[in-house]
Amino acid sequence: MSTLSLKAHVAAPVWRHLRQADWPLLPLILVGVLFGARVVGAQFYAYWNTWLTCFTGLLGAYVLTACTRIVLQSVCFDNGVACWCVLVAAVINSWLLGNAFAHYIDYMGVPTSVSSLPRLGALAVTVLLVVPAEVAATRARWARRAAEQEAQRMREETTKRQLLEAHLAALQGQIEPHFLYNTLANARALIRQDASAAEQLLHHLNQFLRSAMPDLRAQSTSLGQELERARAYLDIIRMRMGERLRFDIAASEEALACQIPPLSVMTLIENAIQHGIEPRVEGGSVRVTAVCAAGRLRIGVEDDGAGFQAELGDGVGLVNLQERLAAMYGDAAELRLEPGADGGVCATIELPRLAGGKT
Amino acid sequence: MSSAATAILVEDEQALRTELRTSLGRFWPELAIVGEAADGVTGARMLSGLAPQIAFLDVRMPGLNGVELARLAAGRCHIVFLTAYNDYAVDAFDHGAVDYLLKPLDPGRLAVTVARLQTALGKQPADLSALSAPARNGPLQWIQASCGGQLRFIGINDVQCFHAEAKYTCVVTAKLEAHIRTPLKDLLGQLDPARFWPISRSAIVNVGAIDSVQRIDGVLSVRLVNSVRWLPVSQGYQHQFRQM
Repeated sequence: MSTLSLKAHVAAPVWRHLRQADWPLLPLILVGVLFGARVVGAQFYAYWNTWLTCFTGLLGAYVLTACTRIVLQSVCFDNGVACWCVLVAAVINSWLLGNAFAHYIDYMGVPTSVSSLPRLGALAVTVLLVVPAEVAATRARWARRAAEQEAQRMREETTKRQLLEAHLAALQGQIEPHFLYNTLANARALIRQDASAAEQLLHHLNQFLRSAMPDLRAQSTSLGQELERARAYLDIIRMRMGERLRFDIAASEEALACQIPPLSVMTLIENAIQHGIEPRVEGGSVRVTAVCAAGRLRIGVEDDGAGFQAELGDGVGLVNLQERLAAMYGDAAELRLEPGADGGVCATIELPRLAGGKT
Repeated sequence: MSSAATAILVEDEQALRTELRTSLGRFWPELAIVGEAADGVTGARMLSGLAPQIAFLDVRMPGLNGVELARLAAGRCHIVFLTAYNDYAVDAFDHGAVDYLLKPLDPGRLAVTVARLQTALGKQPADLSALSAPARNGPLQWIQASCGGQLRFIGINDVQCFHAEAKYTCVVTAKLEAHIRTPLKDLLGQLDPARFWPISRSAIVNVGAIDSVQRIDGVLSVRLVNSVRWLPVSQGYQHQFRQM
């Protein structure tokens, strides 16, 4: 039967369209189906017209509801109550119309076989309304899903790009020309003045470059490795600055094994040197600490140098670090900068404690 | 040529100072190095106290930097900048610094500098007082703002809008509101104009943080993401929204 195959065709979209606001539709459909089954089982031809009217009315009601919901949703809001009201109105409407129609046909005294034709026509019109409405609804759903996927992809791309940029910036910051050329200039000058000091400086530079290089593509590194690199960097700066720099690195065993984003602590240390210690004639000290507590790793870099000089800055190092932490840990990681106890700046990174192997 | 040419060396790294002194001794034995300083403040004292004809100045130094020293010495002595990286020195050279030396020192290059200095000695030293401090490279990247007695470090991408308050400028992010002392009009010049638009004399918004724009009775206003407040756009600033 054409009506049955049609019902099968629309069943899936109807089902998928069902939401919390549509559950009252279920008993109506059930009534239609039961009624249909009853007339098919008993006096099919006698009840054919009534069944057709009922079913058409239901389908019409559904179409109206679906269309209204699509319109309402696309315009402004997702209001189940409004849809439900429209559905009720449509059912009453089609019931009244169907009755009026049936009465008119009876009144005209048309034979049953002929009087079903206009109702079949009404059914066909309903189908013509259902199919485009369903197609439109499905298309809208697909478009929404595609937009969501696109947005998700964009978010992932952005995160990836930020990581890449951070790595690049970290690399550039690491082998900052001022640092490298000044260190080489120093080594060269020392060769004639104090050969053993020159050798020492080159040894530190070698340590530093060696520990900086292999990590550039890794997502994380151990705090132990990072602090090794920091020590080599601070040793170099101390040889260049002499008595002006003092530093101290203290980390617990468990903290050393934790995983951290590469070059994150280095960014803080370079900042302390460049903005805290270097500008001051009398220099200062840098203290690096790392402890684990309550499932979190806290790394502090504190200096007693020049302190916060500027309210605004154009350096990308700290911003990159902040973005990198957000990309990797979301809200679970934090970068704080506060005025230090002895003047200077106290920078703190707090992350979830991730121990174990290199990723 | 005066045989009693005098010079001071101002360079914070001792090894480099020693190397420069030794090299100068080799290429220009007659030059009298009358003073050496490891920081800008001592260097400034030497400039006025010793009145040297030549000053070798490191660009990056504690206390006062090389550029600030050069400005102090305006027209009184010939300046040679020392730098590890020629990002800034080229600009200084354009302003009339006799020369700049890149670190590590190249002996051949130092000989050229010595020759230039010897010719320059007969002339009036260039006035470098117009030399500006090494400029910021790019637009503003971060802000230190105070929030409830605490300093907060805010990346510029997180800022949704700035608006002027009585004495301060208020910085609004998705998570907090903080204050800075920099006035709005000074801030505007440092922001990336493609991403931060002024919407009135008292507010600047991050274009990326705009959720919706509406016009009611000819009054244009914007609403930011996660905000319920509509911020009015003044007449003079509405043109920016036309191409939206």
